[in-house]
Amino acid sequence: MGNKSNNLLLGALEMLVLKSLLTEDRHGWGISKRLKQISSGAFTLNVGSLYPALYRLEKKGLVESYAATSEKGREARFYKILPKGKQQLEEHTADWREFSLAVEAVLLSDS
Amino acid sequence: MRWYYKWRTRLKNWLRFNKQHDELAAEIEQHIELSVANLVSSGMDPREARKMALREFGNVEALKEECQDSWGMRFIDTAIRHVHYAGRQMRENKSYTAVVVLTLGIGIGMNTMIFAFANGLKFKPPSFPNGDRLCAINGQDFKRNNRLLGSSYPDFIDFRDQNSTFEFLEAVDYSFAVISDAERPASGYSMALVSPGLIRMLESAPIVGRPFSPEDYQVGATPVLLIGYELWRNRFNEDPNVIDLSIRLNGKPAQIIGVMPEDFRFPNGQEIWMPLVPVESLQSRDNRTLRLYGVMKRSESLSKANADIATIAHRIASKPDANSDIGAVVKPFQDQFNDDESFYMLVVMQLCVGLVLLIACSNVANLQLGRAIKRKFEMNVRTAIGASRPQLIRQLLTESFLLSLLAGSFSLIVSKIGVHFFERSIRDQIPYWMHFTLDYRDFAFLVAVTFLSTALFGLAPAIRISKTELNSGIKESAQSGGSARGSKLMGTLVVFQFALTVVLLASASFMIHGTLEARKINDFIPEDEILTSQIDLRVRGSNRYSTPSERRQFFDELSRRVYQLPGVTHVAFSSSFAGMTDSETNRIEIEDRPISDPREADLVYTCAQSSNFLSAIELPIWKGRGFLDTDGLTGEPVSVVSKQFAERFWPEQSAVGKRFRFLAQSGPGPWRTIVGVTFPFSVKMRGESTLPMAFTAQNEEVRRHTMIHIRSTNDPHSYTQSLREIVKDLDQDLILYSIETVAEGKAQNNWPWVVSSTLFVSFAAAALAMASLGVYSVVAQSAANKTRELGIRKALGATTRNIQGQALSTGFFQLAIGLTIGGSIVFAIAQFSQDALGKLMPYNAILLYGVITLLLAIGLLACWLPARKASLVNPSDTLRAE
Repeated sequence: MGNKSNNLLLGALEMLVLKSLLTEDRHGWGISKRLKQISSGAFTLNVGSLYPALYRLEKKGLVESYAATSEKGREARFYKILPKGKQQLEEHTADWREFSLAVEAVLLSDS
Repeated sequence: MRWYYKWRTRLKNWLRFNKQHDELAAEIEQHIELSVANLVSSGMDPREARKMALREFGNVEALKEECQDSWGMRFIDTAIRHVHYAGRQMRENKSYTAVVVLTLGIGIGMNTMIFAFANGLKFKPPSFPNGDRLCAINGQDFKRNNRLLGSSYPDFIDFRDQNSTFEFLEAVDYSFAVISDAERPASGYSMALVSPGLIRMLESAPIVGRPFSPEDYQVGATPVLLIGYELWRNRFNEDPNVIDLSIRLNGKPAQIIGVMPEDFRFPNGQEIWMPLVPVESLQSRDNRTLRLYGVMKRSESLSKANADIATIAHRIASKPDANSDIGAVVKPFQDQFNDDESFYMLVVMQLCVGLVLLIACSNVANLQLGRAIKRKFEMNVRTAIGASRPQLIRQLLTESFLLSLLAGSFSLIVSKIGVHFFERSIRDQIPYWMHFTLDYRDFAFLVAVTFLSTALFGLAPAIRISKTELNSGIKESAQSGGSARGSKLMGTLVVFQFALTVVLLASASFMIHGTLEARKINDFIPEDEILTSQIDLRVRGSNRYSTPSERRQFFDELSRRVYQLPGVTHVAFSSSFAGMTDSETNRIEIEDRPISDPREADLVYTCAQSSNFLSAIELPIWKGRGFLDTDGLTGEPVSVVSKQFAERFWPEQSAVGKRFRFLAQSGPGPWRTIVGVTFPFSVKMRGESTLPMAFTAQNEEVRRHTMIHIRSTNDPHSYTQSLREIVKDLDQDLILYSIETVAEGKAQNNWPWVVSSTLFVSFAAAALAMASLGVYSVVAQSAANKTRELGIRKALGATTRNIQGQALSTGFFQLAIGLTIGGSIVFAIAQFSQDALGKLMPYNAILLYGVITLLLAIGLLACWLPARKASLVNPSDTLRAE
């Protein structure tokens, strides 16, 4: 796998994680479940890469974590999106849209 | 290993590493539990659910590592693990470790040793109190190429009183003292006349008696002197009653007032000190006999001191009685005593030992590459269970680093021993305050070189080894075939090593050759039969021997008396002796060949000598006649010249009867006729170029400083005492110095060359050993890695000879390339040095071919031995062993 697509995917994963946190705070398993759900199973997430992504986001100050009790009564670590995270998500979403439109324009052109 | 785990735990706790680690573990566990619970609730069997959850999660350990990466903590943990693992590797491969540590240790040790010499010579402050602030202040002649000068007494007073950067600024007048008293024979010592504060500047004081008092510095005061410890011991048997003893110093009464401590011999091995009394003759600014030394203030720097002194010098230059073209410059004290030639020599040596270290590094790199083939399986397994390439490189570099650490420690021992023995062997030839003992600079150099060599020998193999092709790698290593790329790299390193070895070995043989050549010069001289000595007829404070006839009378009488000793066949005098003393040179003009610029005229060596000198050294006359006793007394001056002289200036005709004259600075001398031509006579010393020789008659001027040569049929040393007695009897204020045979004198003059040749030979020997070891281990390893191939080939009918032949031809090919490259470098260097370095390393093609042949033989032997061993293996055994 080339480096560029790798970075793109890593970035994309982080954005997806942020997106999943917009509606509510979630723990790691919750995030993976949510992502599976909203993508309607279009892609299966490698859980292994979810946690490093979460740690990176936390380090960058885009999310914060806290311990709480889950809906099933277990101790779990929850993640909460921070304003800086929201802002980054918006920017990235705009970029992504622009990029995908451009790609689409190329792919669907008649030539 | 319990301590290790204990400390690792402590370290981690301290870094709050465990807490984060535990949190992560808990979070992963939560995730898995949630997955399991979810799956179970959808009706799956709990055990199956857990398995599925784990599978879905992926590699837990890899994930942990990745997360640790983002904390930046893993570095410490892995570093410790790498060191631990590297230590285990080293213990398991003891002989490999030993070879690497020895090779690198010697390489780094040699480099540190040479650096320590250069450091001691040029950078290390002398071993005086405040040695790092001790400076020399010299006059500088702007008109003559900034030549350094001494200072005058008035200059000294100005510098001392007007400067703001020096704590002390003192003056020394170098001199020579002949001491005599009623009981003991006269002997000569090096003496310094010193200004009042000098001994205080060096924080010293007499151990017996008193220091100089202000009264001692009054003009007309009784001359007093302080003597050195060695003089006190040797001449006065450490007798404390020597204080206030009256002696004769340079023919005048003087009083000993004290004895200086054993380590005081300032500035450079002096044994007598007297007050620098400001007598009338010192008051002229043109009398620049003083050397100024000073200790800078702690807050000042060399550049500030220079600016300060230059300002004062400028002020002095504007005075009416001063020379306006003279400035002043401040240098570190030790720079005053360095000659650039030995420093240059050390730089050349440093380059050479650098090459030795390069060879050592490429050797170790080769050994590592060889091991790489063995370790390939290990690397593949480690990659398969999740090690990344950077991790493998880090692991391999850690191993290299640990090896370097051991090698560095070993090299510290090597350099300490080397420096110790070298310093002992040259103790008498270097200033007493110069020491080569290792200091922090040498240590920093050692550490830097160690790091550099780790990078050199460790990086390439590490990158090479860590390039694993997982699938094929594991399969391939089971078949143990060497990779083509690996052996190509190893082969390149062998080529490189041999090229460097040629360069080193050739330089060493040039050095030896040069030294032997120097010994062969003028080999007709019966060096062991001639005792020489030097005498100086200058007696301070007396005008004895001021006219040539007085001096001639002295030498005639001396000669007459020495001839009376039994067995003496020749008593001759000369102003210099080729190979023993500095040679005198003069520019000349040939009659009827006018020259435009006297400074560009031809340069020749000259030597004034008595009429029987040529027969004493057995230099026969080729054409014309030798000197007569009457030559130089009356009539036109005459010369006898060497054959080289005659052929240089009159290649087509006889030189006898032709005329030339010397061009002194004061103007051309009288025309002199050539009356004879000798057989070839070389005056070339090491590092000098050959010039023609012109002998003149001693009687022309009869110099004060003259060499006496006694040739006899007996042991020359047996005349030492009689000669001393004759001289004492003629004049008790005169002394003889440097009494030795010509052979001894030449050897003493040649010692730096002998020492450097020896060093060069040891470098070259080390390089040769390393390069041979290198080619041996490469061939041995590739043969060992090819056992399977060899086995199959033998089974298919290849003979032992075929196999050996193939191994040899591979080795020969590498050797040939290496030797060709090395040979061309040597030719280039030789050519360059012939042009630029004045034939310091005379180019000698036959010698070079000899070196290359020797290397080829050794290299082929190193190829053949392992090839033979490999070819003798029984094919069925090797294949079964797979």
